Amino acid sequence: MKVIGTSPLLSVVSNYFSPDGDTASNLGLGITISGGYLYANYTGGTTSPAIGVWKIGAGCTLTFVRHLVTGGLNGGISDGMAVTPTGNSWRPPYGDGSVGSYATGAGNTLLSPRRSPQETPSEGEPIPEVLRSLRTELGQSLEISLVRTLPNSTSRKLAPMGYWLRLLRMVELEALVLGWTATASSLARTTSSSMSSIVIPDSKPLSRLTPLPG
Amino acid sequence: MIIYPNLCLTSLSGYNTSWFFASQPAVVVNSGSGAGLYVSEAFLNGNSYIALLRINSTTGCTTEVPNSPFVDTNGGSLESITAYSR
Repeated sequence: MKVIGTSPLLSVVSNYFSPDGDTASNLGLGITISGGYLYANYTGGTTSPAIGVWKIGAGCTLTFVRHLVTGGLNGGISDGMAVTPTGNSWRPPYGDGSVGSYATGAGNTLLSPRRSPQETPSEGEPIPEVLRSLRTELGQSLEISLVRTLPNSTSRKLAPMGYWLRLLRMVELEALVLGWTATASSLARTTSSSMSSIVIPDSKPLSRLTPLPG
Repeated sequence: MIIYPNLCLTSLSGYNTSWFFASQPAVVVNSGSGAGLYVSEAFLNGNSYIALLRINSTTGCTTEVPNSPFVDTNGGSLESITAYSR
């Protein structure tokens, strides 16, 4: 669908169906874009679940590139995913409690799954690969991402390292599962009938968003 | 308990008259303040809708623009959107 200058201002370019028989018949279809490619997580069809890769062309046209039959550690499906700020990878959460991590590159649509269980790490445990890469890739965006984890955080009594690890875990899960969208100045998400947004302070957001003791 | 520096809540136009369920927000531009937000809306009358909200770069609050939401007659179950510009 592309934006046009006359009413109704939106124009359907075409309907695209996976040539591999993937569909959205189970739990819908989540999409995300990175580096000129659209990634679609199909929840149904002949090879469910699967990730389809489409190249975006002029006028919002799509050309099918490939698909990858993949799912959670226990065969779970995903209904949404997000690209890391660097664009180097994207991550879908799966309904079976695992999280995937797939590498992307400039024009390279090679999908290399790396998965880790959903369990929150406890203090002293090694940092899971998926968290280590997430922390590295988020870089300067880390604080913004951490803000969105706070509403559901239950880790205020943890030692600092464990605290941050748990927040990192929730960054991934909440950003993907609950659908927060971040801009430079705010976070936003919808309820069933409204839009809520939260301001991100200009600096040191955690110091202004400190959970209260108790 | 969490303290928010600021919290805005904006009602979306057309709820229960044109659409019943708002699903995914997407930034219009993936830089700066984001320029605005798209929101997918559907599941009432056979059509889907895309709302456009402006973002106040100072407060972070959003305001739906006039004439929003914009109808998508291609189906009534839109849930997932993302924005792309080139």
